[in-house]
Amino acid sequence: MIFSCTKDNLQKGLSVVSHLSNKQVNLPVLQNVHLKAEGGSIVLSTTNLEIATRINIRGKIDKTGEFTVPAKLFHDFVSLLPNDRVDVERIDNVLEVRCGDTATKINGIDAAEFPLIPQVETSAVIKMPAQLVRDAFSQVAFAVSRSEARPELSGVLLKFHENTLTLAATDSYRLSERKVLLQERTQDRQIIIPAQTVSEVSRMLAVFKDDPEGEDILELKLSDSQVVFAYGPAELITRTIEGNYPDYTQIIPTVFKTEVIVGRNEFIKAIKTASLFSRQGVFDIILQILPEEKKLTVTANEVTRGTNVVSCEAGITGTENKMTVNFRYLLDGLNAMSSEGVTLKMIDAVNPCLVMPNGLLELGSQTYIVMPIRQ
Amino acid sequence: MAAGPLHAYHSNKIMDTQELWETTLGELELELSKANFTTWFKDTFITEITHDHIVIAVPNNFTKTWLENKYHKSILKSLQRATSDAVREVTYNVEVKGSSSGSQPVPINNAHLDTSIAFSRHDAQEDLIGNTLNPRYTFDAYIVGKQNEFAHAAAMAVPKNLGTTYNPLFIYGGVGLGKTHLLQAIGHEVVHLNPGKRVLYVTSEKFTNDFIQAVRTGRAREFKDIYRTVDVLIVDDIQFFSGKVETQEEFFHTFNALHQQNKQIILSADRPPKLITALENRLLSRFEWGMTADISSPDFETRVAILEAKCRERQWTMPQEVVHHVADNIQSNVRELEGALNKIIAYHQLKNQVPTLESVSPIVLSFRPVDIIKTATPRELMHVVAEYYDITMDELVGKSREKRLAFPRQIIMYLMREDMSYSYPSIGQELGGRDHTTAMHAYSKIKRCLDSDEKLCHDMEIIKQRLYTA
Repeated sequence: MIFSCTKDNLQKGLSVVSHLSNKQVNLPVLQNVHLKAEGGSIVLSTTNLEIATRINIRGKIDKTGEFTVPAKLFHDFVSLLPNDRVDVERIDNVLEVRCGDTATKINGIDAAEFPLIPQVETSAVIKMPAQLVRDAFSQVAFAVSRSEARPELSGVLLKFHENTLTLAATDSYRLSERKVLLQERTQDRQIIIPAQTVSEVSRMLAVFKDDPEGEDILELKLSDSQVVFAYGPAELITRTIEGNYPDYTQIIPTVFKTEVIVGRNEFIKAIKTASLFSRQGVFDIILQILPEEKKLTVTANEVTRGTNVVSCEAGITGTENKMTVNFRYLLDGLNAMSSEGVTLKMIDAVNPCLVMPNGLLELGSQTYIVMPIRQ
Repeated sequence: MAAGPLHAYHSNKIMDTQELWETTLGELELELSKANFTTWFKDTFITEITHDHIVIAVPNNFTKTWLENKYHKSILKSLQRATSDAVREVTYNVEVKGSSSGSQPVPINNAHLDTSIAFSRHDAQEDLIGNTLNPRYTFDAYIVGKQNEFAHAAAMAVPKNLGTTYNPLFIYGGVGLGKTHLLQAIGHEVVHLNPGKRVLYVTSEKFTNDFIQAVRTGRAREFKDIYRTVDVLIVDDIQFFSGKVETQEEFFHTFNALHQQNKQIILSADRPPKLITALENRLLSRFEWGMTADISSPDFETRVAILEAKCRERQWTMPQEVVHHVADNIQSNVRELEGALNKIIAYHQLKNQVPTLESVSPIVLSFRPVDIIKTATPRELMHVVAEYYDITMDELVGKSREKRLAFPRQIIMYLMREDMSYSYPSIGQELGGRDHTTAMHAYSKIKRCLDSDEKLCHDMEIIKQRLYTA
């Protein structure tokens, strides 16, 4: 195998694929990136046996062939090369890399040992706006359950209905939902994708974020138990999580006693202040709504440290109200929003509380629910 | 049914799918590097054997592709060796262990009803309360016979009158007779009838461990918050509380706290409350407050009904004479009955054969050789009885005729006569040189008592169970 390409192309390719390749200890070849030069394209791929990523990079091929080298090492190394042409050649069990003044030999493993990436027989393709999906991923993925007790909650739900994609994630203490409009109508379907896939796809989208060539379309190719995310020259193949996602829409309350509009940054600051005085391991803060004084107060009380009360000005409709929540969950939700103000909707101290951004752009597209801490 | 070539292999050795796969893996392990072996063969198993075709479940598509392309020949060869060339075809299928049957993991507890995910209150509660009930154990799946109809009726009444009619409900019976099933069925029914009620099922061991953990980490309050706020507390196998003074005290307070708020408490043990040794009196009296119901070994008809129900559940047909044979030979407990049936099904599915009396009897025999073949000696019998009634061997064979000694002695005499067919004079001899008329009297007295004395029947059953299964 002999090929040449620009350092930039190689580095970009590696930053898409190399992240997936560490962690595996059993089979050394899984730490490697697979390089293949054939039929006019150079393909880099890695896998952890749950997910596989693959990217085509532009370059000139002088001799076809394939080989694998440690991914992290190769990526770190390429990043430090001068911005120049890179010549790559495989000689026996060594990859020779020449660029500018450097000449390097990297020990690798024969490509025959590298796992075969399963072929996916695509049954349908859905086109999605890439950067919007990337934002949406970051707005829901943090709420995924870390426990393995309920596998279906360990992933993000993608629900397609007409021309709307709804993403949702929950660990059953809080839930984050985000809706994204698609260009075209799709068939109704639901898939659950593992949390790690979500972060890998985000990484893939981020690499090309400022690339003028990058098209803003993320394709989702569906098959039985696997899906493929394709973005420009890059592709990510992943298993989906089997099982039925619980019908969470039922638990989103629709009737409330109190609605509060408050500045998001001010609210976040108040919560962070109070959090210093919340109980370790419980993370409790008390939200109190005082319609007469037009105030939302955040209170925390820890016996050994002291008490803290912060009030925020707020627009309030409805009755006085009070609830105790885990501040981390509330902060997670608020940080995932970008609007200036947020709306807080409450029933009482034992029912879930709803948080929504109230900017015109985001209206109705994002919903966050937190369960109270029972006293 | 066409007898496929797989039918013929290993005709005299019982081998189920798991064993077959283990054998194959054993061979493959020698051919491959450790890294390759663990990576590609982890979580694989045989799901289906039909005719000459074996389907192997693999955890993901990567493994599937790899096995198909790289190891197919070795796998096929090993399987053929293990089955004397009966296998012609091997295919691979992505399937995750545990999710294969049912395919809908529906956790059942009050926090997660299967239709809504009704958010759990957070705190440590979720961890402790989540998923404590086994979805298989429902009233529908519970088979009622003479021996358990009373317990069943009492259990059915509980969800309808939570905390009022029978509180606490105490169910007792020997091992493998369905106590846990009944207890969990109550839990399911409560959740079903009153969504939102918080049901907590724990074994006494879990209760003890939670308590110790809570005390050690200084989180006793949390422990109390959890155990004292549930609507229904189910504690299984409370005989293990015996001797644990601190735990008993905590349980006593938990019990009172719940009982005062009219929360339902359901308990089980392997013997009646009175016979649980080293249990404090105040606890004992509380256990007897409500309703006590027993479950004893199923009679023949019930055993047949259980086998038939299990066959239906597995969609497997077995000739009636075979069902009767199994029910006849495995008598003491339902768990073993089920185990034997599983083995029979596995064996015959593998061989693709209809079970017959001949093919089943070695399984039935091999299944419980100890239980069926074991004969206890008089020595062992005396030990068991002495231990059960908490007296010493010397006392047992001694001269004293105190009632607490005489009664166990009579039980021994009865059992020696009834189960071991000893002559009256030799029975007398064994028990400290007593006259043969004493033995005769004892035999007829116990036999008479067995007809009317519930407690004696129960004692007898436990003694037999210990004697023949130890």
